[in-house]
Amino acid sequence: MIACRSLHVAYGTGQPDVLCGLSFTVPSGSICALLGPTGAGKSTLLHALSGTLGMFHHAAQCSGSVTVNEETFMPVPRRVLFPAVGMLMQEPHLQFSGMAETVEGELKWTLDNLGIIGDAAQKQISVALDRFGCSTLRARTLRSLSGGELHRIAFASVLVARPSVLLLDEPVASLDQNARAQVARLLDSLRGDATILFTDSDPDLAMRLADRIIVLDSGTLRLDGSRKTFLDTVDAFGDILTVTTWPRVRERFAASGLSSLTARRLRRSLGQT
Amino acid sequence: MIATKLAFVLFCWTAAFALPTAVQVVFMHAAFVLGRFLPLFRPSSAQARRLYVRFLLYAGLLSAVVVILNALFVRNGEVLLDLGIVQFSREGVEFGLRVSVRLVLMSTAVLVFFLSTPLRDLAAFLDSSGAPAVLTSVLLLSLEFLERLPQRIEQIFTAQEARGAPVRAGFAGRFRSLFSILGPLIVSSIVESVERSHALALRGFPAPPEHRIRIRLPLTIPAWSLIAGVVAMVGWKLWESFR
Amino acid sequence: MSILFDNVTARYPNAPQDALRNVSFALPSSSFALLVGHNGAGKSTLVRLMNGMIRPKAGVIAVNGLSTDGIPTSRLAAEVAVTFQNPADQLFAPTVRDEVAFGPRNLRLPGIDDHVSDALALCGLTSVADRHPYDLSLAERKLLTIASAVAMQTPVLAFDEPNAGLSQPERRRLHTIFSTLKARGRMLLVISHDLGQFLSLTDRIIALDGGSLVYDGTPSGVSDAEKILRRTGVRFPFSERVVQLLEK
Repeated sequence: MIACRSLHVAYGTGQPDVLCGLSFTVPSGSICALLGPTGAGKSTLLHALSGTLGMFHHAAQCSGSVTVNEETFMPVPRRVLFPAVGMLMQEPHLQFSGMAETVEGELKWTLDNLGIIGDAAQKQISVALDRFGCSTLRARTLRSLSGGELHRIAFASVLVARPSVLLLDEPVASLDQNARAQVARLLDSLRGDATILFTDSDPDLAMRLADRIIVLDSGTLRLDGSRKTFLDTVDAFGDILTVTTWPRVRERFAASGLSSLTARRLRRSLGQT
Repeated sequence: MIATKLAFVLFCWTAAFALPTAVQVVFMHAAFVLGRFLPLFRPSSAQARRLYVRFLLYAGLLSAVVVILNALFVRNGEVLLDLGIVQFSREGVEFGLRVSVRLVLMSTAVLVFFLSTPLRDLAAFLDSSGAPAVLTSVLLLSLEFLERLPQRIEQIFTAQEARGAPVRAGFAGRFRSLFSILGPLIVSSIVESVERSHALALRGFPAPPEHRIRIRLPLTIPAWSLIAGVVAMVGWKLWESFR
Repeated sequence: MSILFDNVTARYPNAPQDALRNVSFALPSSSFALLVGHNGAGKSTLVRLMNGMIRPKAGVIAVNGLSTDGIPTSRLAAEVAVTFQNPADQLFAPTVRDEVAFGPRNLRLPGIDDHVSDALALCGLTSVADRHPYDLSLAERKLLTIASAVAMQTPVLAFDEPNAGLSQPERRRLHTIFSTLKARGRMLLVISHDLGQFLSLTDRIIALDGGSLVYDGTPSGVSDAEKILRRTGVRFPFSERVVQLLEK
């Protein structure tokens, strides 16, 4: 689980707060979307939760508290929370160690850092690759992989360490709709296995699968609720998010009398496969 | 294998200061031959091979220049060649040879090492042998930067050329466009390096020493032999200086 | 005609197949064309052919009556201004104003200051003109790349996914920018699948599928345009698909 209580973060003494007294909880095993425009503080929050805030911001001023998996830090973790927390960057090429030629070598590198070697490592690698349907890619070189395959291996290289919290920084920002659907399916398959928090400036992925939506604007919480709550108040976020079609969805949804919002369930409700 | 190659570099550098010039010449030629024929020391790519050949040519040229300049300007002792207005002294030639052989031996050893060792393998070796994490980080970030450099430059060239910048024109045009290429390249590299550092930290890098150090002694026989050679040379030099 | 493609075929070096095959169309000035197609259909290739970044294997390309054959990209930049998706590829100047002035300076346009001020005002960046480009938000940086293209005073402007990453107010600003440019007689070619954003401005849709032209015409409405998009294999955003399902 992830929780913040009155979290304030500024990048230096006398600097304005980048995060202004955030308080929220993400229950274990759930998927939470953190929506907001660029500069809202989304990346800062991810760094505060993962313990990487101090890596490049030694003078950061923080107050409040952060809780990750029952461990509370006041104000923020001062050490990197690996392997409890895993983080996926927007670009796959930023994720890789640069020390491995093959897919297996890349996943093995994460486990080497954990001190997991030999048969135990091989087994964990197999499980991670199977999870993402990448078993056939095991012996392939990273250079030979397509964009979509690289994305899946980047996921696997983080998840092979079995983090209980997974943070994703704008996971679909540079992807086309087909690739976004693939990422959505990957995240959906992880539901229950890890507490997932991803950031985005477009509500599409959030509305597709998030259990909870948090809207952040200039470091301040504007919403913390369900998809239904977000949809009911979507017009209020037009100044910071891309919400063009969602008001129409709300009207049609209200008129339809349906109670659930995922496309798959809609199709089932409408008698389509 | 990398340990063996590092031992080879250490051996050549020690020889460059400890052994007589004539012996250094032998080792220098040995380094050339190793870099050309032995798989362990052969350049790892076609581009590296071309670089190696170019180095040999330039090393020869530079050595000739060093010898000639020293022969001209060191005026002590016997005159080897008198051309009237210029004279070449024996001492100058010997000094020039000593300096150039030393430089070529040292630089050949280093070049052969780096041309035959992909940076990726070097970074993995350093990580596994307990070298400071900052060293491995710098290598990895440099590797990433170099690998992406051609693609990034092409992207930036395209973007700026579309704004009328003469990036592919003559020297003057390219010089005028220099900042418009370097600016985006440097800024995006720094941003990517920061992101990458975060990503690697969250995959456990650098790992604690008990998980990192996976290279254990004994090293290979050639590596031990070279290290023994280094110890012998240093010992001999010390004995000579105290005699 | 502002843009003319006559039986154009193009292939990238070492590519196994053509990126564009026998593509022909003509676009007049003072018009707005939407270029659609799935990933890899050839949209970016088409734009790069227009300003000479790639050369065709066969066929003729003309911009404002000028054949692109043999003319370097830096010269064709006076006819076609192109913006790309990633502002980081081009931002380097110390101020926003200098960044916008870069293109006009390269083209040695007279009255650069006026063109720059006009472009800044159109894109809503006058108040940040003296700031460093990296002090701007990502959305503002995108608008900056658009302002840089506008200031070049080219008859043709091409934009690659210009509204990606923009929030509602910025998308409304973008709509105003494009309608103003169209009213001023410029020809705009936009790569985007956002019909909601651009359909009211669109005179023509050019649809590509696997390097071939599959549609070139004027859509009669949203549903007609959506059918065209579906033919190219483009997948609609989740929100659009939910609306379509709920409307059935």
